Amino acid sequence: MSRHWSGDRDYLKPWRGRHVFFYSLTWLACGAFVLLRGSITHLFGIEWFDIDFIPVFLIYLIAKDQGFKAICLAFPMGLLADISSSCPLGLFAFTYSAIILGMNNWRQFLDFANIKTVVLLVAVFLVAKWCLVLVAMSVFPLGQSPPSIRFMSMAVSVLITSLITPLMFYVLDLVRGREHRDI
Amino acid sequence: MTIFFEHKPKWAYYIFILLSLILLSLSIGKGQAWNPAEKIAVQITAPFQKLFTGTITTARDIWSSYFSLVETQQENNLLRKRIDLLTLENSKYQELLLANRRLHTLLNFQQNTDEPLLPARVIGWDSSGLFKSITIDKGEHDGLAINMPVVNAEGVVGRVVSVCPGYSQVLLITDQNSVVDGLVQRSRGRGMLRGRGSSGCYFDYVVKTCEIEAGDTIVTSGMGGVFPKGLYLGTVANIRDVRSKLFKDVRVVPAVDFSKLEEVLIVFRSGPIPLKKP
Repeated sequence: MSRHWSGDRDYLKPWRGRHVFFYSLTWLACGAFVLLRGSITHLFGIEWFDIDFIPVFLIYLIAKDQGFKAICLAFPMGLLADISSSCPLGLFAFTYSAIILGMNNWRQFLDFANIKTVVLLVAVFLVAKWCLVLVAMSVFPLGQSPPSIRFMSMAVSVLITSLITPLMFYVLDLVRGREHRDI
Repeated sequence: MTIFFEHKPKWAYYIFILLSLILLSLSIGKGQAWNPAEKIAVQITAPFQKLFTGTITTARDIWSSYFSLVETQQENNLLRKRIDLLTLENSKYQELLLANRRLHTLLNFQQNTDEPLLPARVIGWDSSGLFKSITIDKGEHDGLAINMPVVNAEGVVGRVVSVCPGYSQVLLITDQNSVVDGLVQRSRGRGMLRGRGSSGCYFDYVVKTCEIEAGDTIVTSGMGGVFPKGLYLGTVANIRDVRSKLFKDVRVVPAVDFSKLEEVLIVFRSGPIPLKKP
């Protein structure tokens, strides 16, 4: 009976081997986060805090040697952020994609197995994001003023997001690993 | 196609960069209005935001009004609403009084306040964290158009910048791209209220001779064609008069408490106001 059932589920093997469920879950989580981020920060009264977990997901994918999947995720999430914000279309799509491209090109010099490197990379990602937003808004004649970013809120955002990174990596490893063992 | 996805050539990464640069270039000179593709995306995603915000707000309301202070909370809310209405009414009366004193018979405040208002619920907040905008549950089907003023009982909230059939995006007056023509209610000094993100607002271009002090109320001037005259914008928090500068540095605390913004009112003018290209 049990053989019959395991045989029945053989068709799921290639999907699980490629972590299809994990990546679908990642897309769902990132999409929900981008859409609800503003409402969450507003409801908790922390609008000054630029909470952004998308870099953690993206760096996790690069760490697992899935740079192409990372940029495939970064671009639409950036677009979604652009649409649900008052910024010009393409601003965050460009920012996320450019940073991912840069990190992927430098990956041979970085030790992604070391959690300290990963934490540092998340911090670099956030700072690079703000810098690129400012540069893009200054370079392109978009007719909009660049956002004013306060150093203190930026520092706190980087610190808290970086500190949460190891926990998120642990959870993502659990989800990804569990799926792998299910085969 | 399979070969493309299996081998992932390096230039494929650059396609995304190129795509985003094309999108950015297409945004040049188009302001903040949504294009048709964005409108479809908002129509699909906004219900999730609405559901989430509605659920959280309901849960929070149940917690605060039922489990905590049942009657006190309701009474407090009622009194707050009354205070808001009285404050707004008081502002209008003061405007009328000052206008009469200066014999400005051409000013018709009744016309300014008689415009129809449409209530809307805030369903989403800006997801970038760097810009200040909200999504409301009213759109083109409800008669909303770009540049319509958005207020609440406390004062000016912002203006509509993007509309799709069921939803709209409102640029808050605290956003760095928001500029509202205003005047000091007491001395009638002119200036431009400009948003500075989380830092609040600044009243720019206030000449050195302008009589202005901390605590003064800033109201809309009615110039610019978006906001009716006499709506509360905020209160002057502090003034810096730097000798080397042409104008005074005036920081303003917005009249609206954006942290508690849940419902807004859209002011319907005589006709839709065309989008001004930057």
